[in-house]
Amino acid sequence: MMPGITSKITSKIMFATMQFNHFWAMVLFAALVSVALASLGRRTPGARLRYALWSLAMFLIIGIGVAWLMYPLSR
Amino acid sequence: MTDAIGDALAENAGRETASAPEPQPSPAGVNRHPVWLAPLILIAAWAVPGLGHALLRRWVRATGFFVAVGGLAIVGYLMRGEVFGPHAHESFGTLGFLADAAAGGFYFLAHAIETAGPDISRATGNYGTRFVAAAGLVNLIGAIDAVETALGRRQ
Repeated sequence: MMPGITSKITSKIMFATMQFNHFWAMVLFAALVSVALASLGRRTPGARLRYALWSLAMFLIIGIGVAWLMYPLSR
Repeated sequence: MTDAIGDALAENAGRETASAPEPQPSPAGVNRHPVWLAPLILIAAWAVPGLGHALLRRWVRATGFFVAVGGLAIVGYLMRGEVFGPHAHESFGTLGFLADAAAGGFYFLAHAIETAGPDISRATGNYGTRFVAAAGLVNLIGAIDAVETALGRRQ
């Protein structure tokens, strides 16, 4: 019974994950990497939170900026 | 004769000890662990992301690395990213295997989670491949940091 429930839940999560568009995949990637960088680079909880938010913002701003710069090449 | 050599060695050892520089006090907050502990910390940090830091009682870093590496790897598998095996036929495949395998225990969960296999014909699958590789690289950074912390080079 348990393997059946587990595989059903896994396939539902997998289906939801497969619906990610590029933007949300980038946000999730940036958030997870920012957590690692912040826990590594700063020592106090407040500094870690600020660093994680800063890193996340930089990931998104630079990612979207590079995407717009490459946009003419895709046409 | 033997006594003379023994005396000379003892005298030499005494001179070296006397002329050896004073050990520098470690900076505040830096705990130096025995050197033999470093390989064990490295293996633990690779096998279970964050375990190296947890053994050093760096709880926040341990949690951060476990969440980041686990999240990247599991989401990568759910996105049906490609997980490279050890017998790649090209050098990029070998690099991909090294990056993926650096995720430690999560690498071995790939087939359990990604039951349908990879699907890189879609953009999501391609993203998943990057997630899985990034999980390994982040874990590698974490393992190196744990070893540096154990050796007292980092706080």
